[in-house]
Amino acid sequence: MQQTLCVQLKGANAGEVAGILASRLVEFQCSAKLERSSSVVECTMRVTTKSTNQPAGDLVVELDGDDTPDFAAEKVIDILAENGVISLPAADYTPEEEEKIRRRLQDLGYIE
Amino acid sequence: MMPLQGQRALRAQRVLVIGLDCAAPRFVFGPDAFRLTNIQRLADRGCWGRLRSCDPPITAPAWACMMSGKDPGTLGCYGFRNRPDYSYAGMAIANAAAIREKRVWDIVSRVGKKVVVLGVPQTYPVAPVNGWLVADFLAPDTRADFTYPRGLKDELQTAVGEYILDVEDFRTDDKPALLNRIHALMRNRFDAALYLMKSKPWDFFMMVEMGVDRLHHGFWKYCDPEYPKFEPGNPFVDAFRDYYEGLDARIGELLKVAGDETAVLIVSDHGAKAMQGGVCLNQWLINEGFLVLKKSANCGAGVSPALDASHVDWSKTKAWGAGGYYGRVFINVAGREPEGVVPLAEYESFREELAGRIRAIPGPMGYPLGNVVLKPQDIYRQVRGIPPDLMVYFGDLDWRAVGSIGQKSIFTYENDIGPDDANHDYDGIFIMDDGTDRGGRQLHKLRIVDVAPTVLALLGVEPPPDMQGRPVC
Repeated sequence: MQQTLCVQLKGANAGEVAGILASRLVEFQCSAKLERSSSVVECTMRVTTKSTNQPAGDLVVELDGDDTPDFAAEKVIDILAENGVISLPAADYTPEEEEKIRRRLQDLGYIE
Repeated sequence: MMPLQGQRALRAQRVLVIGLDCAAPRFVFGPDAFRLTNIQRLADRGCWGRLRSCDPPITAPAWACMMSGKDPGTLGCYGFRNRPDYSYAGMAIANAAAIREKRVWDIVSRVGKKVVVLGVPQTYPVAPVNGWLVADFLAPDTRADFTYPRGLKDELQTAVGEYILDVEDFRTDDKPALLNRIHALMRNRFDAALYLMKSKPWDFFMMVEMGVDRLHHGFWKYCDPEYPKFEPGNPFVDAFRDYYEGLDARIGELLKVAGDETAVLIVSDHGAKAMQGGVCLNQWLINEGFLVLKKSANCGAGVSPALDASHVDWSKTKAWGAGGYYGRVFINVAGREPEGVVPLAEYESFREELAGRIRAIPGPMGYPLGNVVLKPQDIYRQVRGIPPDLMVYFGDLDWRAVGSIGQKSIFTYENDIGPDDANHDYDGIFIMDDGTDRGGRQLHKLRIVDVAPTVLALLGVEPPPDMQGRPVC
């Protein structure tokens, strides 16, 4: 089931953050349409999720001007994940990578 | 977004943390201290002391404890590998994903401060920060996304050349080549640090140099005259001194760039000591009848294979172990493990009996080894994840724990994974110069969990109430 959620970013660098966010959301099977105004950026996302936990209304996010745009976008992603809109992927090793790390740790004496 | 204004910094000061994995007090403060001009200047102006590591005093979880202000039980991390469940299937690597508690850079990122994190253990896979992060040696290789943001990887490559995650081919008898690689790691890590310090705005900067640990494990017998295997006049007799003094010079370069307005901490996650040998934990459990192998298992004397779960007769096994710089013992509990045999009602009495038996294991000459046996529930504020039932420091860390089996004696002096003559020790180092003249005061009873709240306090950020340490000074 496809649902639409409006995320409104407010604050310095909102346009840049929205651009980064739109790119990042592709990784979560989301599409994002940006609607800009002079002081506020609105990012409308068509979220393809079966989750029933989505917020009932729009999501308004106040950006911290001290954040790098990349990190500000990550904070929004965290908020979306906390609200069940998206699921953050597990960062697992491939079997080959895991074996490589296991051997390294063994080589370094940490494990046997 | 979270209302952050109330959490903004109270003091406009930035903090530089230089982590030296395994740096030992005896080489920095003690009678064997080398001539470390820059480090000494910081200690003389600020304060310093021995920093008690966590239990276990191992790189993972120690750095995570230090930077979260929480003990391993609360983190649910008891080493580089942890049991993911109660099966016999083995252990999972504890990388950054295993650390669920916020570390200093997560906290200060959230209040809008810029951070740079370089090579701190358990930071791979990378998580976003308000700044720049280069992960640790748990990244498989430099083809992986080991930086945040991703583009930093190429930027570093251009600035300082190929990034070195760690010393490769560590278990080698080619000691000259190993020493070269350890120094190359230091050059590479500090070149990267200098580049990041100069090119990025930061409020909090932390780097960890792993080379000290690799040096201790690889060269202890060449550098410690008190060590039984020490050979006077060997070609590496000055390897420790040369390395530590080289390290001090590189630290001096960082201090110049950091400037006087920066509070500086130099810390280590644990210390180091001579290793007398290994105690074959699983072989001892077999000898005592706690661990039973299937008759088909080919584990005769002299074979020394790793313990294979498929060779264990679980229906007759009460306990098994895992080796490393410390020993872990797991009890085969009925209703908990798939083929558990120790009734839950007898768990505590059996655990106590086993702990007592392990404490009493005598050394090869028949004298007490002084084994330390700990129960996680006794030493941690919380016990999360799946901890070992017992944690063992053989000979109070003079001996490592060997997990392999098939040895005639439970004592081994040859490491089956290659040369290694050092074990970890409880105390690391702590030096802080925050710009206020503290007159070189020596501090006592410093704990590894005190570092995170100290850094936050320096940055004017209120430490979270669930941090277990207290700000120093």
